Amino acid sequence: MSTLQGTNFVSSKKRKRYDFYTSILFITPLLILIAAITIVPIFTALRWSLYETSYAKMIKFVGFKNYISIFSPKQGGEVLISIFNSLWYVICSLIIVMPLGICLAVFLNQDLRMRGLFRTVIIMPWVISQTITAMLFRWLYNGNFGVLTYLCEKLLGIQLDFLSNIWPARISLVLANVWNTLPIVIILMLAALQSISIDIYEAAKIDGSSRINTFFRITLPLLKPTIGVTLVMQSMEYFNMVTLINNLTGGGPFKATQTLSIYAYRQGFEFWHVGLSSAISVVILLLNVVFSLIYIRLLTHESN
Amino acid sequence: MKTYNVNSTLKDPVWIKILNYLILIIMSVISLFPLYWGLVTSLKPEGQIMTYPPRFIPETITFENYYKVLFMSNYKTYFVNTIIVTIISVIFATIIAGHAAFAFSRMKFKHSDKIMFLVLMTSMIPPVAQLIPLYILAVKSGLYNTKIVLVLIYAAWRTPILTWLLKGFFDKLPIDIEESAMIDGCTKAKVLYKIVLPISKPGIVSVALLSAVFVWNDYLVSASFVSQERHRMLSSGIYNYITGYGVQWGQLMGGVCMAIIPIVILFICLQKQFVAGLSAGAVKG
Repeated sequence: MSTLQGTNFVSSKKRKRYDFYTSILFITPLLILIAAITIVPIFTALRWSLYETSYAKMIKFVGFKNYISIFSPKQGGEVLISIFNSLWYVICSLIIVMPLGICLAVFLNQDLRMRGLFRTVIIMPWVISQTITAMLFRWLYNGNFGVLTYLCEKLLGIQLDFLSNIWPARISLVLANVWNTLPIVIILMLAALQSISIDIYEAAKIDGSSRINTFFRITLPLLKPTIGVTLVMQSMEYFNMVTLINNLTGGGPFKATQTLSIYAYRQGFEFWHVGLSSAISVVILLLNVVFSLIYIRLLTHESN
Repeated sequence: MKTYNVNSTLKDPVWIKILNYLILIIMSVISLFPLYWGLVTSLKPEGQIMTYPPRFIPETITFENYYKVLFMSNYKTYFVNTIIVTIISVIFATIIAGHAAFAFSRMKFKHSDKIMFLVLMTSMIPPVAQLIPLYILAVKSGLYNTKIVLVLIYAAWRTPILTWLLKGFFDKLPIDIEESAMIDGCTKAKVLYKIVLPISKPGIVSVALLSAVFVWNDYLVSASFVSQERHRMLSSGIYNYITGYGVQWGQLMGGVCMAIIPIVILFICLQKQFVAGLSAGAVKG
């Protein structure tokens, strides 16, 4: 190609410069958009977290006082409770979603009649938004007329108002989240399963490997990279989740489902403690950075 | 797509097959039941909704709730707003991301890979941390309570991942055609419009669809940046039904069903594209 270039182009240097300007032109809108909507706000939040604020006005520079006060017991230790709630929410959801997602992906990857139909139906909740999931489950969990309330009474003999008791609310929230986010895990695992070569399974079959043996010795190890990536991705997703929790329980009852993200959101949009909310947001951001670093490590590890 | 076939080759006993189907049927029921229940509730007349024990199959079917939602509330406005904002945001984001992705893929310059990486990293910043500063920025710039602010935020939040996915598609395209076009005197820009874009249409559609679902389903942005009814979008409109005095479950579920239907139909028709876009996103970040 290099031999042809000189003959056909008027001037390859001029052309190169032209291409360079084109590429700058192509990238600039992206950079402007991201700088204005993502980068600037983050730095604003960082700055606010160091100030005492009244609504959107900065009163005076107070250094790390906001950070100290969110962790101090004077605030009722709300941050500590919120961290506990976040951990409970993330870990419980993962404990249910991951094994269930992997198993269902394996089931759905087999040669079954109506496989397409099963896949469509089981993946369906993925397109349902968090707000609508919250609405549907509020109706299912309704203390007076909810179906789940009825089933719980019939099957377990317990009369229970799910969303107004501390532990039932926590568990109900996790279950609604599982309903909504299980499909994405299944989709990712299915994609990984479909990239596994059929030969490996044939070899295992010839060697007389049992189904369970094949699953633990072959499928699971081969899925390991995808499992790692999904685990980190979903942890971040659950940790940062606001909509579902806010719209289903509103952080209640008695702040039992108030995760760190909900705490930041409510401090900001309900009480207008902008400085405090920014400080919590920065803590959330830092935790996300840690997650992201793990995520990138996993991805680069995988591609090597 | 070739899939392995353990079942037929291993000759499983019948009970394993039955167990297989049983598990899948149970999961399907769990997946569908909340949706079914919403639909059934929306079709019941008011007097039959609040019954205990709940009635799983409605005695009489009525479209009264839908009528009330559609013609006696602002639902139609919400619906139209959602469609407008979704379409404009997705087109806007895809145009910006498509150009940038092409530059990152075909016109590499010094540090372009690093810039791409930093851009992608911004998609990992949690939305909660950006909301309040953005809110105050929007108020100060006079963009609060407009559709423009919604479009800008959605586009900014979706472009990093869109750019990354599209770059992945462009990287995989065979480069020979483009090279010969270049020899014939095409500029890079012309290569993008005449060759690369037409070839990668399916890929672009599948990633754009994912963004459309994101915008359609979003609550945080639409609830935070719009307070006027005439700019309100579906998800925050629906949520307002429940915070208002005395929840009308029948009407609420009617609204919910109408909000779900377009996206469920889209999903059933274009499931392959969705899954392709999603798995590309997971493998590549």
